[in-house]
Amino acid sequence: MRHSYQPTDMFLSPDVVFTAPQILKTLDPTGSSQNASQSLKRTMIPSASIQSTQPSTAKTIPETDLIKWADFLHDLSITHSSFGGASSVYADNLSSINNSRRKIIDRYLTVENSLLKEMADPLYKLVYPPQEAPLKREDNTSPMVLPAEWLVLARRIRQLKTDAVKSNEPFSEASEKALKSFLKSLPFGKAPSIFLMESGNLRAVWRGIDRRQIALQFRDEDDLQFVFFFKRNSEQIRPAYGRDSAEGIIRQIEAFNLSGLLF
Amino acid sequence: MPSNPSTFSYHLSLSKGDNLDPKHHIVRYVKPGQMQGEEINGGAFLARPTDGNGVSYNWIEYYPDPLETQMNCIRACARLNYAATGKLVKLNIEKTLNEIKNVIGDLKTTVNYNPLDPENGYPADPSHALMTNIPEDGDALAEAIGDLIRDTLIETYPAKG
Repeated sequence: MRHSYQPTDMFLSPDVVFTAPQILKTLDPTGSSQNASQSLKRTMIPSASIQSTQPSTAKTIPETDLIKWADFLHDLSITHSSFGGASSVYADNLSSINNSRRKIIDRYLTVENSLLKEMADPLYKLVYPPQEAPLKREDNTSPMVLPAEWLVLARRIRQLKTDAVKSNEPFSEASEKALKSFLKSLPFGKAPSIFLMESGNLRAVWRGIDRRQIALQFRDEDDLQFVFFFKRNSEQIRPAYGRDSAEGIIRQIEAFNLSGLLF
Repeated sequence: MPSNPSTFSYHLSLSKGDNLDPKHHIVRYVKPGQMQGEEINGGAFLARPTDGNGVSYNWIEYYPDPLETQMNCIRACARLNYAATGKLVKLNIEKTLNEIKNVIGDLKTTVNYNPLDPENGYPADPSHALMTNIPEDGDALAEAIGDLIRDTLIETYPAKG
């Protein structure tokens, strides 16, 4: 099976459909249930460039359905995480998982059943953790961004844009483009919070529990306004703020030792 | 009329532009686009085009206890259309001003009494207050201050009660 997804896929416009959708079969390689929820999240979002192992079942599914999938599977992952304990505990709850699987199929009857079964397989793999390698890109490096995070981001941006249009408030297309362009270039694993400024620009914020933060307002393609909160040899946070190019921002994140907030 | 006599006499003694008691509290409306889940953007604490010469807040202790009454009075005088999913964010004046001073430096930021008279069909907003000496939105320093203010928030309430 060829796994070659690109983060850009998750930013396709709403009218683009994803082809050959497939839940990736890679789950928690350790079989540890503590990571099961995250593992499910990592595996649940198909991408346009992923090739199905069963081409005959390939079918296009609108992105809106994928979003429903993401929500639903995420809820399920929380449900199953709440069982706690080792994978044997999941096995004890097999009937519950079966019910969930049936629920998915019932809910999406319009989609080919065989495909649905394929997509629901990760639930079974929570019970029987597979002995497969973690998700790798074609060049055998770890993926830069988890597909689920990209879907969350795409959905958030779309929501902000829709709300702005409805309330007749500014929304900067240039800012949106700059944000997407920047995020594609940035190795992160945790989606930032995205906000809409009064100016119509988007702002991405990563915050740590220790108050450290990376906050970036996207003013234009290569014009970012940043506010970093960092710590150096004390508990007191210190601010750094200004404007820089995308490349400069990445250098500064490293210089202020903030890259840990991205994962 | 405020139920707490000391508060009542205090606010009678204030004139427009006087600093509020730093022990008191203020709230600011935050739009849905400035929130994501429980996260609030520091940009929500920067001046809006409608704010005038400072950043608009409402002084909670202007109105009588309990808090529910105070919040309802503030909502009733609002000049913005509060979204159902918007929030009112509560700050303690002293904590917020100290945070700005400690992290950024002494900008001489104040929170002063700024009651609004009825105008353009809006009722009076007698608890209105302004946070002053905050750089204009668009400035990186302003954003840093907004983020610091966000970090001092005490509680949030639904914008629509």
